[in-house]
Amino acid sequence: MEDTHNTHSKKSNALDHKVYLAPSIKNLPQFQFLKDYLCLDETEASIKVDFDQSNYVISNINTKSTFVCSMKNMTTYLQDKVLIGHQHFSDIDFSNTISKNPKPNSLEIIFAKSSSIQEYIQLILAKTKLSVFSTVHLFIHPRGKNMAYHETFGRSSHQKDLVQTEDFFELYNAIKKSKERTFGQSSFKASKYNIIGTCVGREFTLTNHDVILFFSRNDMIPMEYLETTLFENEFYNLVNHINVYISNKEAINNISIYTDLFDNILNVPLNKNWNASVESAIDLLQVETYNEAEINHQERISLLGDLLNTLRHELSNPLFGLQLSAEVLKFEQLDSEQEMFLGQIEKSIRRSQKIIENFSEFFSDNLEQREFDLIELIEEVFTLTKSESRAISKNLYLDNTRVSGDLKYSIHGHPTSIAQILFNLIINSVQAIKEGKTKDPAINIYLSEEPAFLNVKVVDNGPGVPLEHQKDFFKPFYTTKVDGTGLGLAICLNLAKKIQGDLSYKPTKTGSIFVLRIPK
Amino acid sequence: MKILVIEDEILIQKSLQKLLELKGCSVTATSMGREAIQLIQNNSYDRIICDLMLQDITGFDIIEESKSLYSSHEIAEKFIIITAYSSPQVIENAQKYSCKILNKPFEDIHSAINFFIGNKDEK
Repeated sequence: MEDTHNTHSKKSNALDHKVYLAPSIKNLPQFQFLKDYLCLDETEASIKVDFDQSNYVISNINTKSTFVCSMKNMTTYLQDKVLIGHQHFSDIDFSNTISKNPKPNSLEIIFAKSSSIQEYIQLILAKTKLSVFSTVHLFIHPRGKNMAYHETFGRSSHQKDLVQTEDFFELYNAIKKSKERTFGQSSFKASKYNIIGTCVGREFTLTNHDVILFFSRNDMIPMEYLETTLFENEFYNLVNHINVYISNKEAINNISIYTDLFDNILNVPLNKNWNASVESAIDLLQVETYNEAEINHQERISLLGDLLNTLRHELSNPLFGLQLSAEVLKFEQLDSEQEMFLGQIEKSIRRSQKIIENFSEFFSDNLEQREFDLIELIEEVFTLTKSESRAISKNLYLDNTRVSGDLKYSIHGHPTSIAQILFNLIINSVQAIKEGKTKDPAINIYLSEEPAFLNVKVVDNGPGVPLEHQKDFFKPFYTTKVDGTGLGLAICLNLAKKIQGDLSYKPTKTGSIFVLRIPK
Repeated sequence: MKILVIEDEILIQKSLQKLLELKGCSVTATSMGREAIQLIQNNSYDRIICDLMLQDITGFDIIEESKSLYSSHEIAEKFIIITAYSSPQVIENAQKYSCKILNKPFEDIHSAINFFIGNKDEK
């Protein structure tokens, strides 16, 4: 027991290929057989498992001894609850898996039997090749039931809800009819299920369940061929895991339904010990958190930057055409009404040009460090949030004195990152104020200096953040808003850290205070 | 004054043509680079206003083709490049031909038009 525990608490190397065994299993007689056969070291259960034609090949990595056994015999040797473990998938190159062959490429099925689907999906998302995807949506409809489960897996989040059967089948049929199986935001009512941006989806049926799987990018960039291929390569592994997952779920709920794949591979009836071993396995799996799944939000921001750059290039030429043609029309004999219209057209054109200009400045090279005027930048951010923050008073204070006129405050730093953080914080405050229906709403920004840092405080008089949310709201995908992505503050914190600064929240009775610290 | 406008954004092209005509110029306009080369070979223009990113070829290709007709001094006199993307490479390339560049959108439309028809040193 002790040994196993040690094995688990040890930080695993991303490249190791070991199977860890639950303590309850190690003492079972069935395992004793394998252990003797493979001369397993008690402290390091290092088993490598492969699937070869119809046999499982189990080998001891240390001694290179191998154990080959047919699928059927394996069932006898290892009852489904005998080996419950957790395998590190990071070193398996899934691109080599031939998607046309629906056979599992390893014995992961047995080992993943009790490992959580959440963990498995998060491992998939963490793999560099699949890191383009941000969220996985899993819909499971137990046949005969009038609702379906919907589970959303982010890199470090997991949410569950229920959907109506009609909604489920609307999605199911949309995917079935689709040839490419890739979808944009408008292809179906994606937002209804919180599916953001472009995604690739598949539908399939198991003995007692209909299942839908979506891999979503969480952005609007069209899906590339390579990405759908990566998804395809992963697909059969996923189906296996989902199959096992459903079985476990139902086993835990004492509904003994085994689905087809599961049934074929391990034809073992449930027994009384099942629940206990599943639970211990789940406990065990929670011991290790997967640190490599660190999210690189910066990547997404720069994608957004590319997108905005393209937009700028595509829009500025036609806008300039409009501007010039308005100039041509000025030479015509116009009555006062026509002149008024022309004037308004020109104004709108100039406003559009200004927005494009500001935005491209916003999303210019993210890591660029230069001399800039912080006051001007904050005023620009105020302007950019103008349409959202209408009717909210916004003021800027420097050392508690309200800034007015042409005051300058030059600093050396990352204007793009700072602008993005402040933009996000202001939008957050605006949303909080609107939700809280605050009277005399105000957002104030206070600048103050410390020896090594510059503090930018964003203060609003909204409803503030309830205590229970304060712990988690910097975490990605954490949101209390109906249509929020939960990324805003996570991105802000990430950006702040990137420029060697910090972002923190100060509870207050009269609203919210976010403090951005920028190194001087 | 005979002017050739080479620009593939049709509203920009037509408006520039009109604005220059209102100043009394005789203007030919095209959106295709190859057609522009033909026009340059068969006509004599006082000024050639040339966009860089065209559907078929680039503005620099047109200038390169014009070398057989004009001296480098004439090229520098006649050609004005208008572009929305004045990257360092573009500026460097333009300097090779000693051509003037005007960024789109123009800061001031009137002074841009005067620049096109007048002495290039005005701006």
